[in-house]
Parts: sequence; structure tokens; C-alpha cells
Amino acid sequence: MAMMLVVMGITAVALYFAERSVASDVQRSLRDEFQSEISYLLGVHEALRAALTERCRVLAKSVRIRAALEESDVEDLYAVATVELRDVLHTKDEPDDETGIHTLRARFFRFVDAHGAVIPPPREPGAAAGEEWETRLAPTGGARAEQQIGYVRATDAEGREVIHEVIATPIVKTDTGEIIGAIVLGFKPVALDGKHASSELKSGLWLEGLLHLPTLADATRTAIGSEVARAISNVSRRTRRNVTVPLDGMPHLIFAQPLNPDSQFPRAYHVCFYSLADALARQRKVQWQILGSAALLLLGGLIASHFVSVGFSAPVERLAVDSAKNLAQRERAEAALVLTEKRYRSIFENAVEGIFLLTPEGRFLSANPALARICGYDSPAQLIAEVSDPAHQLYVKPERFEEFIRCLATEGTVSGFEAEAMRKDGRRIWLSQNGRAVRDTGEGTLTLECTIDDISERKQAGDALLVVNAELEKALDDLKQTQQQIIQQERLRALGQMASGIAHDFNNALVPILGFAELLQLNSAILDDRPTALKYLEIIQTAAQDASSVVARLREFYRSRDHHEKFSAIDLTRLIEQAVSLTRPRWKDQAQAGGATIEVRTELAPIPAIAGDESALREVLTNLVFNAVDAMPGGGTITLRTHQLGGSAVIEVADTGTGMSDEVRQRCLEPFFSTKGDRGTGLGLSMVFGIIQRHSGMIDIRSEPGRGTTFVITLPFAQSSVTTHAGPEPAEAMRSLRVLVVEDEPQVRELLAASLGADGHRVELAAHGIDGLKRFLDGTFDLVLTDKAMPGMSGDQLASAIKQIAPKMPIILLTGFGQFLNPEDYPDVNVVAPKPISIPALREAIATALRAA
Amino acid sequence: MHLPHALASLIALASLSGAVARGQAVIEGRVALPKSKSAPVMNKRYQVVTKAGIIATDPPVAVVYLEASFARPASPPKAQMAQKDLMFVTPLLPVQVGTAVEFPNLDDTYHNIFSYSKPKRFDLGRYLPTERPIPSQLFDQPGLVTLHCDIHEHMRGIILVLETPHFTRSDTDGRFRLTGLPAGRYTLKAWISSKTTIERAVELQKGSTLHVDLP
Repeated sequence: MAMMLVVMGITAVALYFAERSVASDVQRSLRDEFQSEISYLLGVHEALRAALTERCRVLAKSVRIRAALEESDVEDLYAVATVELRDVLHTKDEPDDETGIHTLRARFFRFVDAHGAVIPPPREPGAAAGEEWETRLAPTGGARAEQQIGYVRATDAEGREVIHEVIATPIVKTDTGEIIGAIVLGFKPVALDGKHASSELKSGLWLEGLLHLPTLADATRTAIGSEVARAISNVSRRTRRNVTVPLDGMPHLIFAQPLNPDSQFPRAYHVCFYSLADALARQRKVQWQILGSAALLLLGGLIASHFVSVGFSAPVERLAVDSAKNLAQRERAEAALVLTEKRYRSIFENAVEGIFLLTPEGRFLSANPALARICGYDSPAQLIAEVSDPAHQLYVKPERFEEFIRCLATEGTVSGFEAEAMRKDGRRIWLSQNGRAVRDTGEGTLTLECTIDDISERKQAGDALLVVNAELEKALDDLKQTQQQIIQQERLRALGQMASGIAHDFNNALVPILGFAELLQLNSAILDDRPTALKYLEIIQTAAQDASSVVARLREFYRSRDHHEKFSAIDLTRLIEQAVSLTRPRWKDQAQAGGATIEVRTELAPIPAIAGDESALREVLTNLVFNAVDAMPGGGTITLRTHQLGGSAVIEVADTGTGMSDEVRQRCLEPFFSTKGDRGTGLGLSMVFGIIQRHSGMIDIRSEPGRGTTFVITLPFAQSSVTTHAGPEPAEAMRSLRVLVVEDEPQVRELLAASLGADGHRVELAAHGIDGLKRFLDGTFDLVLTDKAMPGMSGDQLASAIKQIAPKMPIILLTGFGQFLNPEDYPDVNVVAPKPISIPALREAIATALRAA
Repeated sequence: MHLPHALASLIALASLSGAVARGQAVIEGRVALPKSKSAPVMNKRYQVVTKAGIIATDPPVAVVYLEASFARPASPPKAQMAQKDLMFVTPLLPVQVGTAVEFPNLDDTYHNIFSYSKPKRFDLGRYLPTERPIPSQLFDQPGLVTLHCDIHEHMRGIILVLETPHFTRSDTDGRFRLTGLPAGRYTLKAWISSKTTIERAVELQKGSTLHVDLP
């Protein structure tokens, strides 16, 4: 009796655990399957929606749509927009198919005015007024700078309920940043239950407390409403508890996904119902199998205990006396063995995969029901009886099967071997095969243990994925084309604006020149104060150099910077002090004339030299100071700060002005982006950015509206290879030379004579090429300096003539096109120097020419 | 030696006697203009701005005109609205109904002028300064026409089509002078923005000069 109780107890415990583990396995696999399906579908949805919002953004920037909206005429507005939107709107003659391309086209569009009210389109005379839902197409809460996505419940022409996915894009005036309205495009919501999804998935939209799922009866919809609402509230509270509802008499798992979390439109959710029917059936089947085997087991146990108690009562009693515990243990072990064997049998019989044993020749030894089912046979027995030659009877390509067998024999194991098979009914399916060669230790015979999986659905899903991929690629191509068009348009604009950009920078450079020149003229006292006058002249000279580098920069518009560009070591402290005095007319005098007081402070730490292009970096600083002045119409403080951070110098230019919004801050480095209307070209900061990039530096902008802006520039310190610019070389270093200067411009000729004379050279002047050649033949010279463009004989022709007479004579060619000429085109000239030439540059050119000749 | 002098005095005499002979009147005065929003600039150039749907010039100027029904001229008058330095020159152009306005392009780049305004909808397409004949449009409906450029989105211009040949543009201080006016009772109007037009009834005597400050 006790034995029987023990047997029953063991059975019950085993049953309990077996059932538990099976149930949780089934649920886990279901959840994984479900989530992977959902995330794939949502990925497709995301990509489509990104394409749509980008399209809307491009439309909202159209000059014509903006111009039409500025006119208050509704009829014209919609007429114009229909033309502009022709590529975006869905036309009636297009097939209304369910592909992704179709959902990229809008069903309708509306405009919203600056107050956030929908502008109704003009109606045909006598037509009914607009539907109520049309007034709900604008996001609530007035105009906002961001795009909004919303879902609006409406009725179609047949009175059926439909949901529109609407994208509201604000239309912004670029000059003032004013939001003058919005364009709303209505699309068909992307369906999650398209043909790619499994048939078990139903999906709908949850909007304002109601579920939209046309395939569902109204009564069912109302019945499950509260459960869906609970699932939605789980999503918003971020709890991951699953909610199930009965649908068509079957429990369904609900999965909800917010569609427009940050929108001003009412919140909408995607709700998916996943049928648990299949899972439950699977679970129930397994339960029955467990119960069945348990009953068998129990029966076996009872019979065994009865037999033991009747047949061997005496020895058993003795044994019981000796080792009652021992016996109970053995009983338990035997029972477990039986259970294990049964369980393996059960797995074999009930597995979803086909399991079979093959002889090395490829004949079936045994097969499970799943294999028979996959291959279209009624039972494993029928399969084994009828299929004597699997290679030809089951496989589309017999050699694939032979290859599988050969691999097994040589490799020992094979997995994921895919082959196309033919079912008994002739239908073709795709199989994934795994196998293992097992050698029986006793007899040494070889058996092949194999499993197969029907992967036809997966293959089909893969194909479907390829189709979707192709569609997305096409959408991407469309987008790229649009982008190309925009770039083209932008280039045209750039062409037009380039001229004004150069004028702007030139003007900036002219400000100190004019200002200080005027100061010197008006205030004769300064002229007597030699140090001050010299300082002013130095500032004028620096500004003029910058102006000439502005012209040199014209080249940068069509050619990238030379690679062999030379950076010199720059003392930042000096550079900043220069920039402050250069910009003084602007922040001091002009600002005061406008009634604002601007103070400029410097907090300069002693830091090592950095490597860079001095004039470009000066331009960076003057540009930033000008911007700071513009940002402080009511006055304030500009602070220029330097400090050292690791291997870099940090320059900060901070103002206490109006600051920038986040959007402006992000875009302010873009070319042609300006908040100054016609006063700015939108090129200043983009040039700053370009220059800093060229110096391998970084630029960081910190700004807060109302609090001011700080530009933080980080530049690396000079490496040892940088040429140190120690100022003009001492004139004593050069011996006195006899120089022939050939130049047709009298002023330039005089200037050259004066400069060379001041350095101790003896100069002879010639007014043109022929005169120059005559003088060269008559005299003795150490060096020839000639202009390029001259009447009669040009500079390079003169150089050729001289080199024929005196091949070693050093010749310098001066030209106003210096930056544009290639020295290799002038083999008879030793140095090509740009005009106007500074005294240090002239000295350097002479030194180079003497070395080269 | 005497000829230029003689000629000059002859012309002066002719114009003076013409005005006196036909007894034409003059109105001069000043329109009170709203304050300019932008900082004072050295040159008195102005541009068209729209703010909250109202179109005006910045700094503000007014178009002052004498309203009454005048006969349309036999041959259509001509006017020009050029594009120069990526701006309309001048950005605010008053014309009489029936005027043909030419739109010469004086920049080295393309422009594409169009308007969606009710009194005149047109689109001139892209053209270069070399385009001949110079693209033009006939303005035969009174009203306000806003001009845009498809390529340069900041460009804006206004053509104010009026049913009178007697109009003038004030300076930026609001001062104006209308000459060669016929005697009679009229309404004097000053257009300041698409929202604001102020008016005053006036009675003009032959050969007199009336001083009117608006409002």
C-alpha cells in the first residue's frame, strides 16, 4: 500500500513539473515569435513615415506655397497648392493597391492659418459644407515650429469609418522666422496587418478611447473596449504586463504601441491582437500526452507493486526488514527510467520537426509522425513503406539528398542544410536538414540520425522582405532625387549670393580703414602724436591686408585649399588684441551712435603659440565680435578669453546679447543661414567654421535665449615643424644689390624704388619691357624685378630674352594675378610674386631668387 | 553764349505758364507714418516686409493719391520694376490701372517673378538680363499685387494699381507733393500698409496750393 502511495506521489510530482515546464516553454516561444513579427512590421512603418515627414518638410519650404499662403485668397491658395503638390497627391487613376508606394501619396491636404484654424478649401457651389472632422485636422494649441503627426477619425464617401494619418508641417517665413501657418497632408495609415504578416495577427488603431478595426463586429469592439484601454494604460505607465481579451471565442494577446507620443494631436496607439489559439492547442495537446503517459505509468506502478506484494511477499518482507529504504529507492529509480523512456518517445512522436533514422545507403529505418506530415503521408509507416528511394521520391534535385548523405558520412554532423522537397501531393516545400552519424558501439553499424524543419514560410517571408526592401529602396531613390534638386537650387542661390557675401566681408575690412583714416584726417593732433599715428597706420595696414585676402579667398569658392599651405606660429594674445582694436570702430563708435554702450573685456592667459593662418584667424575673431555686436542692440559686454586645455588653446568669445534658440544654434554654421534679414549674408559663421576646420580645430556654441552666446574655439598648439614667423628679417642680412626694376605703373615703380632703396640697393628703373631690355644690355645688374602685364613686351617675354643673354640672372616676376598663376608655366622666372607686395615679402622674394639662380 | 540761358528761361516760362493757364492745383503735406522697427541706416533704401499678414515697407513710406473716377488713358502708360542686387527697385510701385509694367533683370543671375495676388496672377518664368523683349505685364484691375521671386525667397515687391493718374510716393518722413491736379472735390488717400489707408475729403481751387497733413 505504501509502495502504491509512493508511486502515485512520484507520478504526481513528475506530472506537475513536466506540465509546468512545457507550458512556460510554449509561452516563451510564442512571445518571441510575436515580438519579432511586430518589431519587423514597426520597422517598415518607421521607414515609411520618415519618408513622408521628409516629403512634407520639403513642401513646406516651397517659395510658391508660402507666397500663396501669404495672399488671403482661399481659392487661389488651394489651386496653387494642387499644382505644387502634384507629385505628392494620390490621383484617382492610379491603382488603389496596398503597397508601400501607394501610402507615400497623400489622400488630401489642407492649410492651417497662423492662429491654428483649418482653412476650408473652396467648395463647388451648392456642395455640402465640409465634414466636422475636417476642422479637427489642425494640431491643438496654436502654431508650433515642429512637425506634428496625428490621427483623425473620419467618414469616407460611403459613410464608412476611416482613419487618416495627418502630418502637419509649419510654414515658416525664412526672413523673420514667423510661423504663418501650416500644411497638413493626410495619408492612409500604414497597416500592420498587410499581406506580409501572419494571418494570426489583427491590428487596429486606438484613438480617443475608441478602437478602429473594420474587420471586427461593432458588438465585439465595444465588448473588448475596456480591456484594450487597460492595455493602453499599461503602455503609458510602461508596465510590461500582458493583457488578453477574448476575440471570436479565442483569447488574444494585446500589444499596443504609441504612434505619436510628442504630438499636439490626440494620442493614438497601434493595437495588435495576436491569437493564442495555436499556442493553447499546442499546450493542451502536450498536457494530454503528459496525463496519458502518467496514467500508463501509474497503472504500471500499481501492477508492479501488486505483483511484488503477491508473488514475493516473503522475500519482500525479509527485504523490507533488511533494507526497506533501499528497495524504495530502487523502485523510484526504475519508475524514473520508465518515465524518461516514455518522455523521449513522446518527444519523438510529438515533435514539430521531422525526426528520422537512415541507413548509410539512405533508406529510412524509422520516422516520426511530423516527418510523415511534412512530406504529405498519412503515417510514418506509410512513408517508410512507400519511400524506398528518398533521393528521387522526395527531393526535387536528387543530388542534394546524395550530397547530404555524403556530408554526413565524411563530416559526421551537418546542420542547416537547405533543400527543396516534393510532397506526396506534388507541392514543393523547402526543408532545413540537420543530421548526425552515429556508430553503434556494439555492432559497429552506422546510423544517420536526422531532423528536418519545414522552412517554406520563412523562405516566403524572406522573399516578401525582398519586395518590401525594393519598395523602400525606390522610396529612398525618390528622396535622393528630390534632395539633388534642392542642392541644385541651393547652388543657383549661392551663385547669386556669393557677390553680396564678398561685398559684406570687404565692407567689414573697410570699416577700420575708413574709420581710422578719417580719424587721422579730422584730428590733426593725432598726426603729431607719432606712436598713436603709427598704431593707427598699422591697424589700417592690417585691415587692408585682410581685404586683399578676402579677394584671395574668391579662389576658395571653386578650389579647395592647397595642401602645401604653410601655417605659421601665432601668438594668440597679440592676435586677439589686434582683433579688438580692428573692430573698435564698430563696437565703440557705431554702437554709441546707435545709443548702445558695448564694453569689450579680455581675459588672456599666457599660452604657447598655435599653428595657423594669421589673417584667417583674425577674420574668425572679427567676425565673432561683429556677430556679438549685432546680438546686443541694447549694449552689453563682449568677453574674449583664452586658456590652455591639454594640447590645445581655447578661445572664448562671449556676449551678453539676445542669445539663440536651439534651432538657430544648430543651424547657424550652415552657409546662407542668417537671422539678420538683409543685413547679413549668412556666410560669416560658415566661413568661421570652414577656417576652424582647416586648422583642425573645433567650434562649440553655448547659447540661451536672453542670456547671450559663447563661441568656444579649440585650436591645437604649434608642432615643432611650424615655421616661426619672427617678423621682418633684418635688412643688414642682405648685401647691396644692383636691381633693374621694370614696371609700367609710375606709382608702383616709385614705391618699388623707394622700398629697395631703403634696404640699401641701387635701383635702375625702366618703364616697359623694351626699355628694360635696353637698360639691361647697357648696365650690370644682380637682379631683375619686372611686372608681368606691360604694353609691348610682357614681363615673361623680357625674362626669356634676359635668360638668353645671362642664364644665371635672378628674375622676379610681379603680377596682380599671383594667386592664380602656376610658377611652372614661367620657366625663365625664378620667383613669381603677387602684387601688391609688402616689404618683408619683397625681401623674401629677393632672397629666394638669389638662392634659386 | 546766350542760347542755353534763353532756352532754360523759355522752358521755365512754358512750364509755369502751363500750370497757370490750366489752373492746376497742388497738394502738399505730410503723412504721419508708423515708427520704423529696424535701426536707422545710412541709405534710405527700403524693403517690403510682411508681419502678421500685413504688407508694408520698412522704413514705412506712403502712397498718396487723389481718388475719383478718371478716364483711362488712350495709350497704356509704361512703368518699370527692376531686379537689382537681389531686390526689387523700387519695391513699392504705384501705377494707374491699364499700365504695362516691365520687369528688367539687372542682376547677373536668374530671376523668376511671380504673383498670386487676386488683381493680377502671373508667372514670368526664369530669365537672364539678356532676355528680350523685357518681360512685362498689363495691370488692368485695381488693387494690391505682391511680387515674389521663385529663386530668391527674400525678394518681395508691391505694385499698387490705382484708378487715378494722380499719385505720388512720400519720402520716409512722410512728406509728399502732388502736382498738376484738376480743381474739384475729391478724396485724398494715403496707403500705408495693406491694412491701413487713411483718407480726407479735399476741395481744390484752381491754381491754389493746399496743405494737408494726414491724419
